[in-house]
Amino acid sequence: MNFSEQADVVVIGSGAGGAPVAAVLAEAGARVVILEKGPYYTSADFIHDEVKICRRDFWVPYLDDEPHTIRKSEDVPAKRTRSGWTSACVGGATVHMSGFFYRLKPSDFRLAEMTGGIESAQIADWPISIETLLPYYDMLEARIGVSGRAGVNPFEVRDRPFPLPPLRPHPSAALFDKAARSLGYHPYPTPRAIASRVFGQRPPCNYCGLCGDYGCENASKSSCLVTFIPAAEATGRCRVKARSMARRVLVDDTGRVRGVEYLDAQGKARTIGARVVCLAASAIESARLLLMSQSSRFPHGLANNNGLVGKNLTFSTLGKGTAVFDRREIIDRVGLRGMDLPFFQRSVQDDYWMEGTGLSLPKGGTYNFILEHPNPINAAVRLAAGERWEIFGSEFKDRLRRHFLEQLTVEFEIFGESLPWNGSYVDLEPERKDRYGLPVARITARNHPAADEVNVKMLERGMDMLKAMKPAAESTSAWTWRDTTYHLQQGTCRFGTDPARSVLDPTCQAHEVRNLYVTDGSFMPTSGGVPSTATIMANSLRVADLIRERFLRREV
Amino acid sequence: MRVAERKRGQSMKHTRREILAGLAGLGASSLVLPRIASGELPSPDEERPFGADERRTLSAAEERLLPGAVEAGVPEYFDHWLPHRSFHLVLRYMAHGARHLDGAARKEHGKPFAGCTGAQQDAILKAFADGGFKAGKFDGSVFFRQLMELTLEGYLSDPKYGGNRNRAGWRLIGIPDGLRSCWWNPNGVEMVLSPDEGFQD
Repeated sequence: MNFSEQADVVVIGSGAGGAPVAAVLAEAGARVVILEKGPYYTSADFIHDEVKICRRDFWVPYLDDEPHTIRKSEDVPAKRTRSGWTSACVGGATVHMSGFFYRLKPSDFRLAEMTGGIESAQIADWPISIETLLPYYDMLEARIGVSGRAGVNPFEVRDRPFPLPPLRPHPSAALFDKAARSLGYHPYPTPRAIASRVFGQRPPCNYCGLCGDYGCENASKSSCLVTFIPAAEATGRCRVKARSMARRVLVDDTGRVRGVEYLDAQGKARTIGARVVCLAASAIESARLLLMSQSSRFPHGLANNNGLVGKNLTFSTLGKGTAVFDRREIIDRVGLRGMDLPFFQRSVQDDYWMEGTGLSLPKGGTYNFILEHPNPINAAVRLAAGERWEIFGSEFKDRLRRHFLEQLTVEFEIFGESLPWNGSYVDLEPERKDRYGLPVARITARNHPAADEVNVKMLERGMDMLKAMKPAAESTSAWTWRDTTYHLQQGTCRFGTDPARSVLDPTCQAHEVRNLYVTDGSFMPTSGGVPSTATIMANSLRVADLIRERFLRREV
Repeated sequence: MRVAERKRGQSMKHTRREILAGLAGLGASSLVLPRIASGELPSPDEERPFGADERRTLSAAEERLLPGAVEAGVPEYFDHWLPHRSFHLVLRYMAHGARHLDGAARKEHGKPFAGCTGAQQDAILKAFADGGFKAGKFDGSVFFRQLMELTLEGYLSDPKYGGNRNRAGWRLIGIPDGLRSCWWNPNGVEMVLSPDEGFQD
C-alpha cells in the first residue's frame, strides 16, 4: 500500500483512551500521529459563557452535521439525538469533565463469578485482576495530579497517599458527615483530577466551581489537554492533527493493520501508514469505525468476525437525587465562612456490594454528593421543571430569586453497573449519513431491569442520607428521578481470553487484527461501580507499556 | 414554601416531563435546541417567516412568564439567536407557537394575544402549559417549556447576546458580575478564607 504519510503509531482520538498511549510511546521514541476529529482548544477558548459553552453544542457535533440515532428497543424507530458523544476536541471529554476520579474494586473485575450470572445479562469477568491495574492507577495519579485523602474510605483499594491533598469542601459537608455516619455510612473526601496545590507548572484550583461542562482556563483540572498532550508534543515526536476525521482503518491480506484513511481539516481524503493503530474514539464511535471498516476479510466490520463489535454497550451513571436546604439555617449551624465554596466533596461507597438486600443484582456502586452546578440558566430551568412548569410570572420570579439567595441545593449522582445485555448495543444506521458521508451510529439502549432495581434502592438510600442532615421541614423539597446519561460509555469491544467471546485480548489488541488496539472504554466487559474515566486512562498507560515492549522486542 | 416529597410513581412521571423539556447530561446544562418532532412544525402552506406579529406576541408572552423580561432585553436575545444557523427549527417552532397563541386569543377574546389583558394572557399560557392546547401534532405544553427555557436564557445569559440588560437577571440572583472566575467574592466582602487557611479535611 502507498501512503501519503507514515508513522510508527497512529492514535485515533485524543481523550482518556488515546492521549496516554500517545504520550508514553512518543516518550519511548516512537513517531506518533494523533487524529482528532475535533478542534484544538486553548485556555483562551474556555470562557465562562453558559450559553455558548453549555447550551450550543460547543463540545459535541451539531445535530444536523453528525447525529447519532437512538431507540429504546428494536420495536420503535431510532430518532436523531445529540446523546452518546464524549467530546469532540483535543483532550476529549477530560477537558470538560468534573474530574471525579475513582478506582475500580476487586468485585468489578469478577461480577460473573460473584453473582453467578444475572438472567439475560451478558456479564463477563475481566481477564485481568485489579492487581494488574493498581500500579497504573498510582502512576496516573502521580503523573497528572489527582487530589484526595487516603485512609478515610474503608472500601478503597490503595496503598499510598494521594499526590495532592483534597479540595476544600463546603462547610455543610460537616453536617453531611454527621448525618451519613449516624446511618452507618462512611463518607470520605471525593478524589478529583484537579490540582489542589501547584502541580508542575500548573496553578492550584481557584474554586470557580465550573469544572463540569466547562474547560478549565486555569489548567488546574488535570485534563489530557494540559497533561498527556503537551507531554507528547514536547518529545518532538508526536503530531496532533486536529479536525481530522478517521473514516477507515486499513488492513492487509494477512489481517495486519496497515494504516488509517481520514479526512483532513480541509475535508480532503488522506491516508497515513502505521505499524500500530490505537483506536480511542469512545465506545460508540470506535465500534462505529470498526463496523465501517469492512473488507473482504472482514465483511461485517474490522475485528468483527465473531459479531461482537458494538455489543454489550454499558453506561456508568444511574440516578440522581436532590434536596434543597434553607441557607440561613445552614449558616446558623456551620457559620458564614466558606458558604460560597463550590465543592461539596463527599462520596460514599458502603453500597458497592449490597448483599442481603434482596436485589437480583446485589451490586450497587458509588454515591457522589455534590452541590448544584453554578450555571444560573440551568438551575432556573430545573427549578421551572421541578415545579412541573406550573408556575410562571411574579411567583416564579420570586421563587427564582429565593432559590439562588436563600437556598442551598445538595445533590447526589449514582455510579453503578448498567449491565451488558442484548438490549444495549451500537450498530450502523442503514440509511442515514453524516456530513462526511459516513453512516451514523445507531444506539439501542435501556437499562437492564436488575440495574434499574438497584438504582431505585440506591436512590432511596441516598435520599435517606440527605434527609438525615435534618433540614427544616418547611423549607425542604426533595425529588428523585431515574436517568441514564450516555457520556460514560463502555463495552462495545470487550476484552477477554476467548476469541469467540471477546473482540480484544487481555492486552487490548484485537484478536483478529494484529497491531490494532482499542483503549477507550470499549474494552470494559462491565462498567463497574465508578465513572470509567480514571480506569480508561490507567488501562491506556498499561497498554502503552505493552506496546512499547513489543516495539523493543521488534514484534511490531 | 411547600414540601413536595415525591413518591416513586410521581418521580417517574417527572422523569418523562424532564426528558421532554430537554434536560440531560450530568446536571450542568440543558440543551435548548429542541426535541421537536417534524409533525409539530407548520406545514409548508401555513408557514410564514418570523415577522413583527410573532415578535410582538412572543414578547408579550415572555413578559408574562417572567415580569421584567422585556426591559431586560429578552426579545433582543430572541432576535440574536432565532436567526442562528443551528436554530432554524426553533425559529419555525416559535413562530408557529406564536400564531397558535394569537389563534387562541382571537378565539377567546377576539383580539391578538398582545392585545389581551395580563389575566387573559395568563389563562391562555396556563392552558398551553397544562397540556390543554393541542392542534394536530402541536402540543402547547412542549411549546410552553421551550418558550420558558429560552426566556430564562435571555434573562440570565451574558449581556453580549442582547438579553440580561444592565445585568438585571444576574443582579436578581446575586451574581452581578456573572459566573465568577475564582473563589473570592469580587465585591470585596471577605466571605471565604483562602482555600487552605485552617483547613484539614
